[in-house]
Amino acid sequence: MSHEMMDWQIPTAVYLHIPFCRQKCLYCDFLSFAGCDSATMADYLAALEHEIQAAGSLPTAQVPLQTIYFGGGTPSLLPPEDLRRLLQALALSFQLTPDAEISLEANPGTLHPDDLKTLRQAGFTRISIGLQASQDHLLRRIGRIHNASDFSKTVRAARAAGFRSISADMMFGLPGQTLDDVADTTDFLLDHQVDHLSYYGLILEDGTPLAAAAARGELSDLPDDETERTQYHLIRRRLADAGLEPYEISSSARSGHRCRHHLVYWQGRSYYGFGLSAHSYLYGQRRANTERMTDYLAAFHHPAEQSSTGQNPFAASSLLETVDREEAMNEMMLLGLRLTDGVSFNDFAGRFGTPLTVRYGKVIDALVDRGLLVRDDRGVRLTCLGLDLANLVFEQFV
Amino acid sequence: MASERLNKIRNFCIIAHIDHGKSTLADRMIERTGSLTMREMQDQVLDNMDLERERGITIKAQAVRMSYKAFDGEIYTLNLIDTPGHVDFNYEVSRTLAACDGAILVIDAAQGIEAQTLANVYLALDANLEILPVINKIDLPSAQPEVIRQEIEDIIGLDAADAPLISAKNNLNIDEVLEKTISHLPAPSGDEEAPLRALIFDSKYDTYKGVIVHVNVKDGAVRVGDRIRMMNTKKEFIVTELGYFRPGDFQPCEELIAGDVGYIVSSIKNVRDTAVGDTVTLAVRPAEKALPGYKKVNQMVFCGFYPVDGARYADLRDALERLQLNDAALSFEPETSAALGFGFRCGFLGLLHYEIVQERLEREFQLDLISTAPSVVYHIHMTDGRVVTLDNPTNMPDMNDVDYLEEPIVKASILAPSDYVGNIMELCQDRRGSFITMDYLDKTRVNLHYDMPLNEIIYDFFDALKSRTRGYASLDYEFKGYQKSNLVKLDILLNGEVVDALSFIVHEQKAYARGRRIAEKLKENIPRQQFEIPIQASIGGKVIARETVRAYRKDVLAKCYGGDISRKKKLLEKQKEGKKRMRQVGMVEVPQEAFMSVLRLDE
Repeated sequence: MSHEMMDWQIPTAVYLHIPFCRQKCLYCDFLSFAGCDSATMADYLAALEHEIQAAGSLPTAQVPLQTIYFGGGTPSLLPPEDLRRLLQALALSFQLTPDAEISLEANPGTLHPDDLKTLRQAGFTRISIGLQASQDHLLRRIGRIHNASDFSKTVRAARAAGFRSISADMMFGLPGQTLDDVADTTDFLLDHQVDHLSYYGLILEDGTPLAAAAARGELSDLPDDETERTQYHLIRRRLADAGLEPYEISSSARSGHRCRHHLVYWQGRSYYGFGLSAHSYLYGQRRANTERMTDYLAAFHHPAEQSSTGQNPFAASSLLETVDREEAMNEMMLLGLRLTDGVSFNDFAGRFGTPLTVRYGKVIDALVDRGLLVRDDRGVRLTCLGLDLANLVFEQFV
Repeated sequence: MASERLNKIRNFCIIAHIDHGKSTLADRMIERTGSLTMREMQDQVLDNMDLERERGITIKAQAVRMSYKAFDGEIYTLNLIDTPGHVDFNYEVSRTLAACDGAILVIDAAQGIEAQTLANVYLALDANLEILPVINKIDLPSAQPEVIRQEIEDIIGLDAADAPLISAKNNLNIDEVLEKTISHLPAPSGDEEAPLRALIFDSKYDTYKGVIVHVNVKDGAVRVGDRIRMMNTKKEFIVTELGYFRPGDFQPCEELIAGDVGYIVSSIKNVRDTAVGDTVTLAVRPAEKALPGYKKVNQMVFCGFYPVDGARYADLRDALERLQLNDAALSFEPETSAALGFGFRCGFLGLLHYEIVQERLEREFQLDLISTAPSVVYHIHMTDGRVVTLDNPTNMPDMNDVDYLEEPIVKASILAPSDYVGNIMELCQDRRGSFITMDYLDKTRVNLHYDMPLNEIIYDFFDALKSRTRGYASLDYEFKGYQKSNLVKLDILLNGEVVDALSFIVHEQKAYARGRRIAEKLKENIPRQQFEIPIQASIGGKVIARETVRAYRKDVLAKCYGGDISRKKKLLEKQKEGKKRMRQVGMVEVPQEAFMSVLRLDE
């Protein structure tokens, strides 16, 4: 099968979802459970291993993996031994390239220095630590369990353990967050010599406690749009000045430290997804695993002595959409335009055999006229205004 | 001298204010005469349109035939004809009344006589109907039957000494109403041997039968197979079926004779051929003279209807055609708007008629509509002496070619408790009304008469009147004539471009305030967009009001959903879908609410 596929259609990336947290953050709408007992976590890990084993029968399993991303939830809540076991399961079902990027999302204060050593030895190469803000009063407002000094300890320990690529997450547009707070947080992270930074504007997602508080009128100190945008551009500028180039709408990195796993998403490439609610994009199909723990456990429940090889790797997933050529073109634009480099004429034509300007000429002309896109010899990308109004661009491609 | 057969027939209607118990009394009479079994009985049988039930008004006339064995041992045929209950349907009301010989007047024992009731009583008296007053809801704690009895005598001048005191809700003294209907209301006085004359008081369209006309046979008789002729429209048809009305049902029979109320089916395809008020006669032996009162209905209010989803234009046309089958007063013709696309210019009897048609289109045909501001019909006197009529402000000719404009004036009468006279006068003054006179009906109630421009009434006059009188005032109006007036066309510009659908004609003195208010409303209802949007109101190119919708700073969802691309796409699709419901006016996306908001400036 693989010999018929184009490079971008061959999955070489894995996303693994760990849906456990010590406590839910007030803004978070990702699938995760706070305060799970160790028995549930053990059952989950067993099921996850089975799912990985089952995927070993997929026709592309022999192609070595280039990136693995443990996301959550809080993957760092799991004992390092469990994380090692999951990596081993992946290594058994798939091969790994020697320079594979293996990332772990971690919360400050959830990892002991010894744990970090174990994880580094187990093969993790990259750690992504969620700081969000360096002001403890802001962290409390959004329900984070740590403080800024926890972050410092974790970064020091990660370096000591031998992690060479350290990423951090920060947020802007938080209630009560000033421009100075944002500048201070950015400087705080630069002081810690992070190699990669993701920065996300707060979104009040339906069903979250923070959205409910906003609906009750309790978030009168949310920054207005103007301030939020100023915060965003301040972060990007400061990072660039310090040598972290913006390479994506929400990410900046030192040379050689771009997140290869996330680039898979934005380049419209294929990936596996394992675990509760995990998404995959395989063989032209976008699928999602169930969000119900009991269904997931039932789908991949097996007695320990039995192998899961030969089991349906999609036992817990349902098909969301089949991405045909037309949709793949749309996705390449919609996802690729998040990147600072945008979408190149060569890449587009190489992938689809149709010049980008032939397929989207009119749409692009209009977006250029509106000042949202810039076009040069190489391709198209968002303007500075386009970064603020990116949805106006993206919605042209759905 | 009426025949023995005619003496056993009573054709009557019930006049009542909303909520005073008209439908309940009708239900009790139907129940009491056994015209309907309890199981068939559904509360308020006569108002059978959902909309009628909700609004508590009757839009189309309904009729029902009951058989009643009176205390004298004789069996009587009682034809109850329900009347539409609103000023917009005045003409239909008067035709319905013409089909009756008497009326039961229902008055609420607690609330007394209301303006609308009074208007209909006067219509009934004009039509020489005998009136039987009935005092309802006597079991309410606040009931004052004796006070109300006096009121009926004082205000209407009817002898109410014998008025039955009833509770329709609790089935109290319904027999007395039935007995008095026979003793008090006259029998029909037709001539069974004369050439056929049957008055059309309503018509309905049925998918299988075609048009069903509702008639009161005044003279002569009609049978299945007869060739009938409409005396005013001159159309002829063969009768394929006729009969009388059972509650919610038709009962075919062999013939309808003078005094009967019933229906005729004769493969009529177009309701317009069977205008309400026309007289049906026989082609072989036509009557010499039609029954009096026929009048061609004229639309007074016009507006444009546009489907929110342009793809449903054909559905809108089908829906209008279907409604027109049952509503000969509705007119429509295609029109095109640069802002709204393809739609229809529709004509209505009045504002309520307009609202009802709009609501029926939305409910019965599931159409989402954008309506332009309603307009009246203006007479434009051109400098070359021609007079043109204008029902769509967009079509206003160049003012250089216009000598002057005339607008329709109505005689308005407003009935309200005297406490609110000041408020009402202020409102009428503000709406360019000229005071004519004021009658005190009694110590607490007044009837105010004003001549008012119709275009001041059609916007939000009802709402304004209600809010200034805590809902107590009621309004009645009739067309008076055209009057020269200092009118201007007000244009609304978005981002420098005139939006045709928002243009309207207004009196010069009011243009400034109206323009400013519309600009404010639009600002509230147009979402921020990529560019700053100036909103301007202008007259003849001169800007009189301006607002600005500021550009937005942010529209971006940059979160990484862990490879969940579908979710991101769904959010974008939803956003795009929302924009599809908006109208593109030049560079500006205008939501339908913005078009609607200018219709309710008083809020």
